[in-house]
Formats: sequence, C-alpha cells, structure tokens
Amino acid sequence: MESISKDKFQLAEKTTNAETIVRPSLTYWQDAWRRLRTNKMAMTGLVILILLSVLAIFAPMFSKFDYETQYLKDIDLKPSWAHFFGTDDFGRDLWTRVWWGTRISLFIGLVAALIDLIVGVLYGGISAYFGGKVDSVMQRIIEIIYSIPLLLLAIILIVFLGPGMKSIIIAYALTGWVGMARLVRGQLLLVKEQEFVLAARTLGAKPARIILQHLIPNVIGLVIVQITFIVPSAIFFESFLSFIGVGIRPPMASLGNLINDGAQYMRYQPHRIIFPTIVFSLILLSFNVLGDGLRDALDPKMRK
Amino acid sequence: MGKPILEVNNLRVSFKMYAGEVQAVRGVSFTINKGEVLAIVGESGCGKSVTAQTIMRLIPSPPSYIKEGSSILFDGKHEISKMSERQMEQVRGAEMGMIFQDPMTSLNPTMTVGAQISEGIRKHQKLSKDAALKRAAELLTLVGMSNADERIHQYPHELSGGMRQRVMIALSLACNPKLLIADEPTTALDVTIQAQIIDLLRDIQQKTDTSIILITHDLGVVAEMAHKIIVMYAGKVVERGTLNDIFYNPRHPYTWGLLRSVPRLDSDRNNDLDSIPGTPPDLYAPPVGCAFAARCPYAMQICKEVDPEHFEVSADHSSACWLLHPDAPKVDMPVGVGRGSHG
Amino acid sequence: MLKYVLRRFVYMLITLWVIITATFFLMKLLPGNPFGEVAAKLPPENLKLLKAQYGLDKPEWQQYLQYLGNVLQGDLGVSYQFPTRSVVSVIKQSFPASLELGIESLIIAIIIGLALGIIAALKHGKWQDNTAMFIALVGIAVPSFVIAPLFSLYIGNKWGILPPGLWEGPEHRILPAVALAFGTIAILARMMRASMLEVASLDYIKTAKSKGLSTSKVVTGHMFRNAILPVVTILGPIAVGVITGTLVIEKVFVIPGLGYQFVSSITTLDYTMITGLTIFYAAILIVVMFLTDIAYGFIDPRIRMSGRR
Repeated sequence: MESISKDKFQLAEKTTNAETIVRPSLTYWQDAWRRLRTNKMAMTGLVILILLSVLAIFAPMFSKFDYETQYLKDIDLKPSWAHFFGTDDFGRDLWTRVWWGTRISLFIGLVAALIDLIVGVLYGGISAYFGGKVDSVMQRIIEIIYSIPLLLLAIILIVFLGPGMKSIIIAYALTGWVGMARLVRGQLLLVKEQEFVLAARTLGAKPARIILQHLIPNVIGLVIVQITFIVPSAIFFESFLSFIGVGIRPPMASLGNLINDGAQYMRYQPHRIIFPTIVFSLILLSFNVLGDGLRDALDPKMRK
Repeated sequence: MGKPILEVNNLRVSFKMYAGEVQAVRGVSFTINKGEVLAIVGESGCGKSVTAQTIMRLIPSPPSYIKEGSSILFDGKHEISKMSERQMEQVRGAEMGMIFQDPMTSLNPTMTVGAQISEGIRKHQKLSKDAALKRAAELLTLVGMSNADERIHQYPHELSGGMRQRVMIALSLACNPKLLIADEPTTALDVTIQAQIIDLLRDIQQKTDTSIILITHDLGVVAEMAHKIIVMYAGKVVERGTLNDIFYNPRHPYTWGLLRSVPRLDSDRNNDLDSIPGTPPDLYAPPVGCAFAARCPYAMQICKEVDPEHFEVSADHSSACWLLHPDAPKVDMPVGVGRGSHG
Repeated sequence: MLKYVLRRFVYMLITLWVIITATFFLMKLLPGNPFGEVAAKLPPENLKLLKAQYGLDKPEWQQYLQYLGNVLQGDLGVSYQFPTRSVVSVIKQSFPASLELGIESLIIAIIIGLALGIIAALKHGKWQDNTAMFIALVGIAVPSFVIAPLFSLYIGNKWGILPPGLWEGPEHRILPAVALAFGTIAILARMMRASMLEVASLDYIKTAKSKGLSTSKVVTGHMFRNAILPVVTILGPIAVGVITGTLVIEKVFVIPGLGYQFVSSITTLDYTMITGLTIFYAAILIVVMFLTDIAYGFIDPRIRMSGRR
C-alpha cells in the first residue's frame, strides 16, 4: 500500500451537510419548461402555433382586401404578388379568407377549450371533492352523456337551431366537457388519497387551503395537456361540420368551409384546397406534438 | 459447501440518461457457492436490485449497459456479460430463477396461474401442455398451497398477496434452477406473511440445495437465512463477511448504522433506535473519495480524497473503510452494535 | 359479469331514450307544418284530417308517447321532402353500402394501426418507430375530408390507378376504405405503441423474461394481450368515428350509402329524414359501444369475474 501522510487520518470537521442537495433545485414549472425546451418537436409546434396566430390576427388587418367583398373581374386567379393565395370563384382574396378562417377556427377552438375547462373542472372537482352519493350520481350522468354521439347531436342541433358559430359552440359545449370532467375527477381522487393531503388535513388546514395548495397544482398539468388536445379536436369538429354543410356559412370564412369549397374546385384550381389544408394541418399537427411534449414535460414521474 | 456457482468480478453497470450517466453499480465483486445463501443488503438505490437483475440480464439495454472489464461467471462456464440474448434464454428459468418484490405486479393479470408456471417448463423441459400443468400443480403443492389442481386455473387477482408470492416462488423453481435470485421477496407483504415466505424459502433451500441470492434491506430476513452477507452503498460493496462477521463484528460505519436502525430483542431498552442521517449521494456524479464520507460521523480528511480499498479483517471478512488503516485512530463500535460489544 | 352487462344495457337504453326525446322536442321547435312543402298546398280541411291521422291534434305528451311507440316499433316516419318515401325504406336501401364500407375500413385500420403501433414500440427510438409515428401524425393532422378528395383526384383522376368514385366492383372499394381508415390507423397506432411501452415496463414482463421465454413469446404471449386491453376500450369511439366518417367519404366518392343520404337530407333540410336517420345512427353507435364494452369484459378476467371496472 502506498504511504499516506498521517495527518490525513485526523477526524475531519464536518464541512458539508449531507442533506444539501447537489443539483440546483428547480420549481415544478421551471423543471417542466426546461424539459419542454429540449423537445425539438414540441418547440417547433409551439413556434408554428405562435406564427400562425400572429398571421391570423394581423394578416387580415394589413391586407388590401376583406374576406367578403367580391371582385367579379378577378375570379379564379392563381397565386400572385397581388393575391398571395389566389382568389376564389367570386373574386375574393384567398390570403385574407384563409387567415380569417384561421382566426375563426382558432377562436372556436379556444372558446370550446374555455367552456370545457370551466364546466369540466367544476364538475369533476365537485364530484371528486364531495365523493360518496354525489359522486356516484354525477358519474352516472357522465356515463350517459359520454355515450351520446357528439357529432350526431351537433348535426341535429345545428340543423334545427340554424347554422353558425353559436350553434357549433353550443353543440360542442353540450358534451365536450365530459372528458375533462372525468380526467379532473380521476386525478383529484388519486391526489386526495395521498399522504400529503391527509397530513395537511390532520394538521387542520382549511378546505380552501387544501384545494389551493395541494389539489390544484397536482391537476393543473393534466388540464393543460388536455386543453392542447381539446383545441384541435374542436377545430376538427367545426371543419367536419362545415364539410358536410352545417358549419360556418359563407361569406364568412372558416378553414372547414374553405377546404370544402376547395375540394370542389381542386381539379382545376388546386391552390384553393392546398393553402387552407396546409394551415389546417399545421394547426392540428402543432397542437398534437405540443400536447405530447407537454405531457412528457409535466409528468412528475419523469422528473429526474 | 460446494464449488462456486456464481462469480461476479468488478461488475459495473451504468444507465445512459439524457441528463448524463448514472453509475448504478460501481465495481461489485462476490462469489456464491453451491448451496449457499448470499444476502445483499443496503438502502434503496444502492444498486442491489440492479446487480441482481444484471445477473439475469433483465435490465433493458439501452439505457443500461454493462461496462468493459466486468465479469459474471455462472457455473464456471457461462460468461453472462458476454452472452447473446438467445443464449440467455437457455439460462433464464432453466438455470437461474428470479422472485420479484411485488407479487401484485409480477404476475400477468390476464393469464391463469397454471399457464404462467407451466410456460417455462414447456420451454425448457419440452413437456406437453398437460404434463407441464401437472408439474405446475405439484410445484404449487410444494410451496404449500392447498387444492393445487384448482389453483392452477385461477387468475392472480383471485389470490392474496402471500399466495401470489408462493406462486412466484413456484414459478421460479419450475425447472430446478441452480441459482435463485430473490429481489426483496418479502418487502411488499404483511409481516405475518413475511415470516411464512421466509420459512418457505429456507425450507426449499435446504431441501433442494439451491443457491440463493437474497436482496433485501431487512436485516431480520438476513439473520433468518443468510450464510454470507455483502453490504452495498452507492453502487459499491462496503463490507463483506459471514453472517456472524456482519452481525457480531461489523467494521464499517455504514454497517453500524444499518444495525443500529434495527430493533433487537436482546438490546437494552434504553438504547434508542437510530437512523443514519442524510441521504445517499447522487450517482450522476459519485463523490471523490468514500461515498459514505458525507454521512459518516468518523470521516477523516483521507475519506474525502481517496476511495478506500477493502481491508481484510479475516479470510472471509473485509471492509472498505479507512478506519481499518493502521494509521487511523482507534474507533469503538457504537453501543448496541455487535453482540460482542455487550461483553 | 351479468351485473356488468345489465348495467351497460340499462345505460344503452337511457342514452337511446335521451336521443329520441331530444329529436322529438327539436322537431316541435320547428315553425310551420310538419308535412313539408307538399302538404302546405293542401286545403285546410284536408290538412286537419292529415293531422288527425298522425295524431297531431292530440296534446303534446300523447304525441310524444306515440312518437316513442312508433320509434320502438321501427317506424321512423316519412320523408319531409318526398312523403312517399319512408325513412326505413331509405335505410334498407342505402345502409348495406355504408356498412360494408365501414367494416372494410375498420379491418384495414385495425390491422395496419396495430401493426404500426407494435413495430414502433418494439423498435422504440429507432427509425421504424420514427417512421410509424410520422405516419400516425400525418393521419391525425390531415383529416379524412382532405385525404379523400386528394385520393379521388390524384389516384383516381390524374393517375387513373383506381376509380375516383362510385360503388360498383371491388376496385371501387379500395380508395374510400383506405381514406376512411387513415385517421383511425393513426389513433390506433399511437395508442397501441403507448400501451405496449407501458406494458413492457411492467414487472410481469420481467417475470416472463426470467422464465427464459424468447422475445417473440414474451411479446405475443404476454405483452400483446395486456397491451390490447386499453385499445379495446376505445374501439367503441373508434367505430363511432368510422361511422360518422362515412358521411364525408360517401359524399366525396359519391357512394350511394346512408351517409350520402344523410348529408343530402341536411342540404335539402329534410327534417323528418334527418331526425329518423339520426335516431338510426345513434342506435347503431350505442349498440356498438355496448358491444365493445362487453367484449372488454370478456378479455379482461378481472372484469369477467367481478363485474366491476
């Protein structure tokens, strides 16, 4: 054995505290954001969504044309410097219409998400918080609503209420919140049973404090992820309805009715279907990859 | 005791994570002979489970990999670390069996118990379906289950936790393996059931002369059946010895800490049960020097600079601690550790 | 198990009743007369007779009960636009094509979707995984109403490989069925992949491996059956998606199915046809959901035994 200086064998003063954690401590959100940032797909999705939203807000404002005025001498123009996306069979500028449509579609998606958020979180929260009889009755109601086919209900509602944005949003709101309510309830029940909530309750914390401090932070991640999936599904919902003729009515533009129109003319004017389709697909794609990324980033089990 | 059945030499296992390399096992060596029970003891996260599962190559690679220079020699002829997946299939189940910690999750919920036990038998012993099922029923009887002929048609969720662990033991014994690895076999069970399972394991071990590697953090279980013990900390073996060496003459401060945290009937009632303060180090960046130094009440300057080699206490007993260096100050074993110190 | 089936059955009945009731009251919301434009030209006394014949002079609750009775007996009324055509005759005539399209598409989707999901999970992180997941992402981002016209235009018209529309020989089946399957493939592939990865990390897979089973045995014997369980639970909603998808596909490929009828009745505002077909569709969807729930119960012994979920 090599010789070691004897003074190394003095009992050392305790210099480091064993409890100190070597890694810098990050809050839940910092940690999630750090992880999301390393996810290239999700970040690309986020950037595209921001870009599309900016275009949807500002492009119609700075366009020389509006979405409804018809210029009958300029019908069926191919894309050019005057009309970036060309014109339709009424001479309406497609650049303006596509971004108007994006606006409408995003608006429908966001409103649907907001309604889902409020109704779903309240319903799920009440169901989980009270538990027992209340919970089981509320769950039976959910199971019935869940088995009603949303699209069919929407179609007959819109047929009878008249087409338009209001009908679409009402139709979506009637059944769309069920998924969110189930999710929130499930997660809350899980958290409610965990030791730290029990501990807080034993220590005499008020219900409001338990909800704010313990329950909400544990549900919020899931809710955010769910929202990134609700928005595209509402957008898809509108487009589907527009495609079968019960969505947003022209002259108002939506991505759905633009694609529907485009499909009828695509043999001779492919530009009419290509542009709205690209925007539509980018929105759906971006929300989905962002949602996947968020789910991975917010999952506490992944915390390393 | 017979010839060595498993010789592990300088085993190092790492996990490649996106945040860096986790060195879960950092140079572990031990030998287990035929008919021996070796206990691997340590806190959770010390690398004992990784060591056990690596012996059967059950940890997916990537992210895990066995580092260069490691050797796992089984039965004097199979070099486990170099074997192909196909060769491993011939070893797993036939020559080595494994019992997992949680019987609630380690059985397939959609398959009958009989089918799960007979699967391995059919593969290794080339028996027909009926013959394998018959053998499965015999095994269930062997592990102390009544009505074995009916039990084989039941699903795991119809059985209690203790029953499932018996099934798991039957399953691991199905092809009379030479080595049984039991990874925390009692941790997930009720205390009364724990005792039954340990009795069963000891009983089977004596009947069949199987070698057993027993992974646990429960020193009570160890005292019940182990012949040899290795104590692991932060991916390394810090002390090794026979049951008597470790219980009566422990030399590593970490072992002292472990022993002090176990209640004992013969100990003075006035003695407090102690826990070891602090937490194990982060294996993303193992500390220079002795990994236990930060929690060790006897830490010296040298401990923080150089990682100690093993110092031999006797032929079977060694400890990786600078306190055993001739130049180190004499430190007495804390009160309540090592029955010898009671005088 | 019996309790489980019974409970599902009661839910099914309640859901159907909700739909039928909803359609009845929506019909009542409509202004004008219930016999459509043809009847509007009739003299008032004839109209009165007609109303009496259909019981429309009775109080609303009696009408509701009668409506409920009619629907239960399979009488969904007559077309608002063409009073000579009953809704049931339209269903009889056009449903077979839709059913065939739906089933073919579902089979394609299940085979390809599950295969992609399994490959992706087994080759986790490798190029096969990335390719499969890319296909799945495209399937999610590009909806059937975009895929279908593109298929019809390029494969049908421009390249002339397969017929761009209509519903005659077997060659007419391929494009619509594949176009309809696209989105479902994506959902199934993603779900199956996630489920396989989840199962792969479970302890009993390690147990299976520790018995010395080969990788293929572990995958087919242990992973597949457990991984498919959660996928079976979404087969109901997936079938619903395929059935509603036929609306779009039949419109694009001009297939004389029920979806085509439904969409045209929407365009012509044929109210009785819309409500009648809605009830029919709802009934099918609900029965499909019921059946998949039962199927789930049979695959999972934990439910089969206890009747709980």
